[in-house]
Amino acid sequence: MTEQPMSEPPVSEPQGSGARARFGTDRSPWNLLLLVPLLMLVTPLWNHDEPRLFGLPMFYWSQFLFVPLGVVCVGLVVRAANRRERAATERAAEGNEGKR
Amino acid sequence: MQWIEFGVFTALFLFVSVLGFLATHWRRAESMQHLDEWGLGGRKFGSWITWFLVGGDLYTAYTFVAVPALVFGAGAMGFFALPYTVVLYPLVLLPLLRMWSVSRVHGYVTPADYVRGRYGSPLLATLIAVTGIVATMPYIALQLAGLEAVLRTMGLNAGGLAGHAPLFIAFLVLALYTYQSGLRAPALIAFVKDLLIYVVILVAVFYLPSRLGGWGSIIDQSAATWSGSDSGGSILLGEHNQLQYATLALGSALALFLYPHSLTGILASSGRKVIRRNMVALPAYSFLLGMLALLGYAALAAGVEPIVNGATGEPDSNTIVPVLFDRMFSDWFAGLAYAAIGIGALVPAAIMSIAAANLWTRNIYKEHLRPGATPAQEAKQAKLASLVVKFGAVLSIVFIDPQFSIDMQLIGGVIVLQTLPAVAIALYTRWLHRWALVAGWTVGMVWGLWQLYLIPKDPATGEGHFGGSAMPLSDFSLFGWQPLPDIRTQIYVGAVALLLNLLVAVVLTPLLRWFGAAEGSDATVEADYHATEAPSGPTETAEAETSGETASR
Repeated sequence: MTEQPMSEPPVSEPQGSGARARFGTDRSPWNLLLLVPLLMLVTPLWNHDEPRLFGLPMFYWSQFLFVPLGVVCVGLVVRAANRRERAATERAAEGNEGKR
Repeated sequence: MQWIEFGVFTALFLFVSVLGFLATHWRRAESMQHLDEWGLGGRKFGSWITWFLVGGDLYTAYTFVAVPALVFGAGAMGFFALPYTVVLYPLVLLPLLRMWSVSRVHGYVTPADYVRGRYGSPLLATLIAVTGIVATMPYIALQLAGLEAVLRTMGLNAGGLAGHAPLFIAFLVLALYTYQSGLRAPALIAFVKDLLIYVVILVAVFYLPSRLGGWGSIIDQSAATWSGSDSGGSILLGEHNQLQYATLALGSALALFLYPHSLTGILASSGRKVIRRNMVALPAYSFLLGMLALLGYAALAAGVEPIVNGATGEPDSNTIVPVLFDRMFSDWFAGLAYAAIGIGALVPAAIMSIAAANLWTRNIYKEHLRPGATPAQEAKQAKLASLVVKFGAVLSIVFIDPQFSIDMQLIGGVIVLQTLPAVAIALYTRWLHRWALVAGWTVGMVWGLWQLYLIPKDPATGEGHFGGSAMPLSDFSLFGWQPLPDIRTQIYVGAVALLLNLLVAVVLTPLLRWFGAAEGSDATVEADYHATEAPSGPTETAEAETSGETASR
């Protein structure tokens, strides 16, 4: 971020400064969960015929299992993010009332 | 000629066409003569509409026709589409939120708008725009191939010009209502499309295996058809294609949201929460995608033979799912399924042409040809461009005719992946120098296209070009130097091209700084990337628009 130029173009200043919501960052330890579904790219983990499930080789059913796994991981990250954003909004609202 | 199927198909096609024309009144804006309205539906789509719209973008004729066709021909390899749509959401969740926020604050409509603002480089922005437009064309062509497969199965399989007439008519209707209603048309039609698709798939994945003796027997029969011959596929990955499988899935996932049309669906949504919710809900489609892929095996077990294309005289593997439906279902239900496939091809084709038109208008027409264009002129220009792009798609289907039509999307992926450093990495850091990005883009693009050109259309004889998207590592060469001569492992061309692109960009960046090359101005600040709303209240789009315009001057 050190490469950011010193001079902001004039346009974004007048309308941007006050109105732009500053809600910190999207950073959170929860985000590490997003790495878990990437295990699916490690093919030797599940490139096998046996055991079968409903007649499907492991290759197929185990990859289907990654769908709910991915949903759970993304879902947890999203829940945590929504909470952070709600808390930040409330803080901002309180701050505004304090000023008035 | 299958009259009942054709009747059901035509009736549903006409129904959605009417819907498309009426869509212009849906959530009507004061004026459609504005790019935000025509091209982004007013930027106020909520969770449900976004789900249908983005779902309509991602799960297309690709899913219904091209993926099963690949499984039918190559087996396990075709299943890469499932990991692609699973790793997709965790990968893109955070970057998309940043993209949405910064676009909302500055009124960006396209990825090239963003690059223009971030790097202050018209050249880089133009490259990004051109890349997006070119990459979209083979992807639209894939939709055309899907639609054609259905028409052919219903008996519209004449040779020569007459053979293309039904496709042409369908596309003309699509072009007209897209012209009229903009993004509202595919958004509304996506509801119908998804309803049809869900009904068809649920019936297909439960009914077909029961007719064919269960999945176990289907898979075993498929394996049996392939055993003994080495031309066919395999129900598991072999020693040479595991890396290809993983790089295809990863490369496709990274490419998807670089395509202008998928970003259109995201930017049209009303908030960060809508995007988050969708990243959790969209995998519902992935499940269907995997189920559909397995239909490739069902077709093998049922002994389906692809229909011979009346125009080229070659068997068209895209027809295997339509033929399977024709054989297994009653005529009216097959007609319903065909309508689902056909409409499933038209929705994304509409969104893609709109997105490409936005790129043309914002980043080429307004940037270079007519800098002072009014919003009404912009909207008019975009409408015309959407027609031209569709024409380009028809051309790509003539020029690129790979063994599997899915390679059209994968070739598009190789192209669009080259914008990753300038668009996606830029969301996080501006360390890469803009000229280094231009150089990286050039190297990745030239090398990638050259490799694709070298891939023979007929692997047995080595003749033809643009035959696929995978190359053995042994073919990797830099100016004649082949570092890995004995490794037969296959890899996705796009992954290698992207690595070269990044390498060039990373190496050149410090050099350019050292020589003091100008950095260009950055119109964005860190807070923009977390903004939850546009700068101010009721007139938000208008104000965001002005800021975007000023930023892009």
